[in-house]
This record gives sequence, C-alpha cells and structure tokens, in this order.
Amino acid sequence: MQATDPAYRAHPGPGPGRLAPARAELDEQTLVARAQDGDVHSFAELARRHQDALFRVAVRVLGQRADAEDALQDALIDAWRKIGTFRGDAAFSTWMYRIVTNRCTAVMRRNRPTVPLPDDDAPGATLVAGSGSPERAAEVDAELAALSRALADLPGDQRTCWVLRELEGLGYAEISHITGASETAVRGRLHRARTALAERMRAWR
Amino acid sequence: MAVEQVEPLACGRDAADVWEHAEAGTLDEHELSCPHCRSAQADHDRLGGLVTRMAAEQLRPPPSVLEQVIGAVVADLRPHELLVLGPDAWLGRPTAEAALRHVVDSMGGLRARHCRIEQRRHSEDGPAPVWVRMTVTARFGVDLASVTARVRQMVVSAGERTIGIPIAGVDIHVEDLWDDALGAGR
Repeated sequence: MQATDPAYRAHPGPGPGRLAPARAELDEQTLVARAQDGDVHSFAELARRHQDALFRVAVRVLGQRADAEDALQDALIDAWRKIGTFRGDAAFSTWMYRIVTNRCTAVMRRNRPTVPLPDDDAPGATLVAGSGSPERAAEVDAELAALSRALADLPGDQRTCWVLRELEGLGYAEISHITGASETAVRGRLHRARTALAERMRAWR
Repeated sequence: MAVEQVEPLACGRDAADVWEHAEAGTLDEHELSCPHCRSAQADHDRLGGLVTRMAAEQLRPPPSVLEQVIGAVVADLRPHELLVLGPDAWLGRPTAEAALRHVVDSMGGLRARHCRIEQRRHSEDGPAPVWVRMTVTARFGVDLASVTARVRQMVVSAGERTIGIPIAGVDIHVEDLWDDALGAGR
C-alpha cells in the first residue's frame, strides 16, 4: 500500500540507510492517532489487525458467514466514522468489539428467528485432518455442528456473552464494557448459556 | 434484576462459582463430594473440550470485506479535508499530513502520531501558509531539544518541497517515550 501512496512517492527520502518504519511495525496508539487525523492507511492497518477477531465473534453470534461479513464490513465503517470519539479509556480492541457486537445485535433483531450454520459452513471442517479415524472426525464435526445449533438457539444477549467469554477469553469487566450490561448481568447470562448448552449436549454422551 | 442473578444449587452453592472453580481447577472439598456440585462439574466437563475445539477453529473474513471498507472510507473523505494549493488546485489534507509524518518517521528515534495542518486564510498569490501541529513519540535517550529543532527544520523544508505550501509555523509536542529494550512503542 505504501508504494502507491502519493505522499510516499512525492517525498524524496530522508537520506541513505534510514527507512521509516512500515505501518505494520507501528504501535496501536500511533496508528489510532493517525487514523483519527483521517489517515486511511493507518486505519486500514488497524482494521487488518482486528478483523479476524471481530469476524470470529460475528460468525459465532450470528451463526453464519454471510451475515457476519456484512456485520464486519458495517462495523469497520462505523469504526472509521466514530474513531474521533475513541479516547483510550478502554483498549482499542474493546472499543472495536463493542462496535461489532452492536452491529450483530442489529442484525439479530432484523433476522429473527436466527438461521443455524448451513452444512457447508459447519464447524469442524479444519479439524478433520489429524483427528484420528474418519469415524471419530465425523463425530467431532457432528458434535461441533450440534454445539453451533444449540448456540444459535440461545437468546442473543446470552450468546454474545458466551462467545466473548468462552471463545475470545475476555473477562467479565471487559464483556460488561462491550455489552453495556452490568458484571452481575454478564455473569448470569453466561451461566444460563453454559447450562443450556450443556443440557443440549447431553444427548451426545 | 432477579433474573440476572444465578440461582443457587440445592446445596446453597452458587452454580456459576462451581463452574468457575472447575475451570480454574480450584474446587474445594465440598464441591468435590456434593452431588449437586458434581452435576454442575459434569456439565462443565461435557462442554470443555468441545468449546476448546470451537475456539481453535480458524475463521477468517474474505479479503473483499476490507477492500470494500477501504473503498467506502476513501469515498467518505469530506471536501473540507482539502488544502488550497492555487486557484484550481487542491491537496487532500490527510495526504499532506501523511507526507509530513513520513518526514518525522524517517529521522530515526522519532514516530509521528497526530499531525494537523491548518490553513486559515486564502491568499491571492499562491497558497496561503499553513500551521502544523504535531505530536511525536521519541526513543528514550534521544536529545529532545536538538531533535525537535531538526523536526521543525525538516517539516518546514518538506512543506516547500513536497507538498508545495509554505509553512508558517510548527508546534511539536513530545507526548511519549519508548524504550527499545522494553519492546514498547514498536
């Protein structure tokens, strides 16, 4: 991206042997400051760093990839428009998670009832290799698909808490900041999600 | 709010606590022997491995998502983001700011963060001079007085040579230091 940036082409260069750091090497705070000034390339680097995590959350919360791609795209555009309001009170990743979960909530409201993952997107596809016998691999696939379906049947607020805690490994305080619910509420939703999923998965033993 | 609370188990223990203790491997004597607590642990154990496998799955968005976002973001840049170069010539302010940041980044020991270029008035002959406000971070140990003097000099000369606008003044604020040994400010 740097080579096509007119700003970089126009600059004659600082002198021999001293190269400016590539954007990929810059710390997040510097990239955020630059993006707040309207630097598209710094924003693109931030988006590149965070997009996988945001997409994982969107796929798990929404239950399918097409909606998750739309939610991610809208969330990143929201982030660009609102980046001037980011004050650094929370981590930038927390701020981004909040934007994507808000988008997911909007999609869930629109889509009710939720659609489970279609078979070709069934989880477990990447786990087939190396999981032992084909029978066992198929069983793991089916078990993960069953967990995905059970997850899709949970109420949206429980699903969001469960995904942020169990799949992204976030703490109660951070999830509370992202969802806007109290820590007590987060704890309650997470527990109800866990017990509901465990109940559904009893059939597999 | 009662619905947000976790119902206690029949033995009186908080079910979410038992789950957390099973997760952390810190179950106490009661929890290890009580049938109600054991049942909560069985739920935890049933899901544990499966959740780990789900969390380990690679899910990546297609490159088209980011491409479309950047397209939309570029289209979103507003007209007031332009600096006047001449009667019919403008330069995108973010582009000019990126060029000046690049000057600072290239000096070694410094990284530009914010860079704001302000053009306050229009001029009849040639572009109106601009004021530059820049915040930077510096490597711990660099001589800040001499390095900021040099930044000012380089930015003024880059204004003339690179972006074609005279620079009336440069404010520099060193807002952070980084230490290579600590790996901060990479």
